[in-house]
Amino acid sequence: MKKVLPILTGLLLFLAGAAAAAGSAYDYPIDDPLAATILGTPKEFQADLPAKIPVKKRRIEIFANHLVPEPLWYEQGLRYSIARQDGPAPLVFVIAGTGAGYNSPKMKMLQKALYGGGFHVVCISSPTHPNFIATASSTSLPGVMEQDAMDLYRVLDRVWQREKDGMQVSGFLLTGYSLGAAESAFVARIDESRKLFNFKKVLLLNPPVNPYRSVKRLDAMLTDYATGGKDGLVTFFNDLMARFTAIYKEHDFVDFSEDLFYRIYQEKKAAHQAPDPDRMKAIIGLSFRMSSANMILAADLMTNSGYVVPKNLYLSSTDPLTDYWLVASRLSFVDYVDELLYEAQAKDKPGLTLDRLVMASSLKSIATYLTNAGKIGLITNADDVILDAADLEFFKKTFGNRATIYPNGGHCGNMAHRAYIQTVLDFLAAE
Amino acid sequence: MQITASITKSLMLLLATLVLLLSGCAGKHLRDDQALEVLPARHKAADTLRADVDYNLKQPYDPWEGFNRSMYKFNFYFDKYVFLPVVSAYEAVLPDFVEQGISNFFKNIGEIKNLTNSILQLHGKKAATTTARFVVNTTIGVAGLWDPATRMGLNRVHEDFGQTLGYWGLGPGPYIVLPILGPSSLRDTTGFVADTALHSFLVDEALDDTDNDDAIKAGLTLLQAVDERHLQSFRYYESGNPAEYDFIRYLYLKKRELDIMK
Repeated sequence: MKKVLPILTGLLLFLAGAAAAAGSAYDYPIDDPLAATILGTPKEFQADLPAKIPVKKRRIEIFANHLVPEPLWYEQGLRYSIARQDGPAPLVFVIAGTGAGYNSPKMKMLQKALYGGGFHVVCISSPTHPNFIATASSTSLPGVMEQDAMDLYRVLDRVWQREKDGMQVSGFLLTGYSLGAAESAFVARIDESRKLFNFKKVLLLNPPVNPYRSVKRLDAMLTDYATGGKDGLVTFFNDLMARFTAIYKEHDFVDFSEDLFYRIYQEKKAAHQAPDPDRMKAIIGLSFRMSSANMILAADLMTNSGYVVPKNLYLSSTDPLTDYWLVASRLSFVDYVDELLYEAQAKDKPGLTLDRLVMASSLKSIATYLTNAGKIGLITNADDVILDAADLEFFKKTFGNRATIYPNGGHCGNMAHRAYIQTVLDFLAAE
Repeated sequence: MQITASITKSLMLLLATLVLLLSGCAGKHLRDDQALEVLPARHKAADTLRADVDYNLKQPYDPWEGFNRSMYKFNFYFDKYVFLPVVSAYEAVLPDFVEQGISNFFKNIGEIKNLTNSILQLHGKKAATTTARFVVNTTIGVAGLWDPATRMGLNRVHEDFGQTLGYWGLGPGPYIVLPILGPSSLRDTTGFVADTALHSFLVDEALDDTDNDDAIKAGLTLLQAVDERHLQSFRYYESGNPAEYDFIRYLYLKKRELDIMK
């Protein structure tokens, strides 16, 4: 018995080693890009993350004596989070995707992974998140890339000024996913002349090439399916709830998790009942639409533009916003850009066309910089639903061997995968 | 009883102070000047929304909406200045396994509520599972501090008197935002009162022969409240949705509807 134990231990260690080595292999299991986007990474394929990390949630005032209208009375200061290592380490800023806050599930996952990889980590909400719109945006009308990047740069500066005394930082890094990735590229470019951070590495995770075009694709996913005009949305939502209710009644589970839906997806697939792609598209479109409704309503309240809320209407902190939100949810991000954002921009810049406004937000507008900036890397998926073939070609041409393109994963669906996270850590840690 | 009473009293005082604070918190805001002419929005609700469509967000029966919205705001302040600081201190002082033990302990006591209500809803299987859980966790799990039952495949079921009333056909009635406790309905509040009465009756019986039973009871009640907030990750006004109140209202009522169906 005494001799068996060491052998057994050795065997277990060997198996553990083999498992760890296999950890960097890419085996993301969902081949349908729509399903991948919705389901994310099933637990057994996820990177090992620390269970608990020391995260501090903070609020910071970006503009002195900043005013917010009463319905947004609680938006006092920009919220962000920081996880600090005990000793010296590089600091990574992470920028969230469209509509997402600093503490969205993807942000928390990245924070844990990066902290586990030995970095200090600061998480920043997307400039399209209502808290950012109300407290840190210079115009409160997000969607103009250069301007959003300037706002972000100001935020990073303020946060760093506030945090620098409490920590030892050996260098700065920047990353972001989805829209936050495209913004990271523009922030990095600003830093080339301002030089506050001199980012060592910048990593773009599943960025759009042209945010406006990607947004159009996402929006079409909803409107193509939820037809019957504006009320198709209600019908679609009720149908979705009914299906969800059926699943809820049928399954004996303890809590809602992504894995529950993955299990159901697998069961259905095994029974050759693949989920309806149009319905999956509509779910993605709906989720995006809800973020954009939050953004439109917050932007309108902040600017008193009279877009969905009557201009000059006084609203108290407890007045219902139900109808305004519903109206905002019947509009798309594209409506917002075409109408509210473009008109506000054109006022200050005579001769500005919508086309030029849209093109200025594209990564193509800084292609030369991206081609030559060796510090900027990219991870994306060949089947990312916000990209088309030309977008992928652009990435390959521009980033060359600094691009990692996984065969599947949809839009950010594989972000928590072992291999994906390992690529993130390796890129940011490389000298 | 005295200590419970004095805690209740100081809590009331605190509530009153907070309400006063709240009204003083109006502070600086845009557009306090109401003299400007109100112009219709570019996308008017009247043109966009239709009378013949049942919008999910607008369905809930909320006749006390004004009160509820103020209470919602009050709960944010209570959280910020009282509840969350206490919970943070609790989390900072106690190691995770102790917190887990405390949660398990209260959940185990809660099995009596789950059992009673499973029986009242004629759910034989749920009653059996709950009984088995209670027996296993009270004995092997040492007075409920551990939860070996879940590892044995006996998943916890949640049944309360609000669900029992719903099971027998009672609708939710008006939506209510309770102070501190948050979203509820008239039916669920009634259920909560009944469950709490049963709970304190049982605790009374259990502590009958003990000295200082009031102090113990008050301590337990406070600890349970802290434990429950500790388990709940929800934070008021952090969803990023300017219409958060509407969404919470919809989701709360929908969730209860599903729980009753199950």
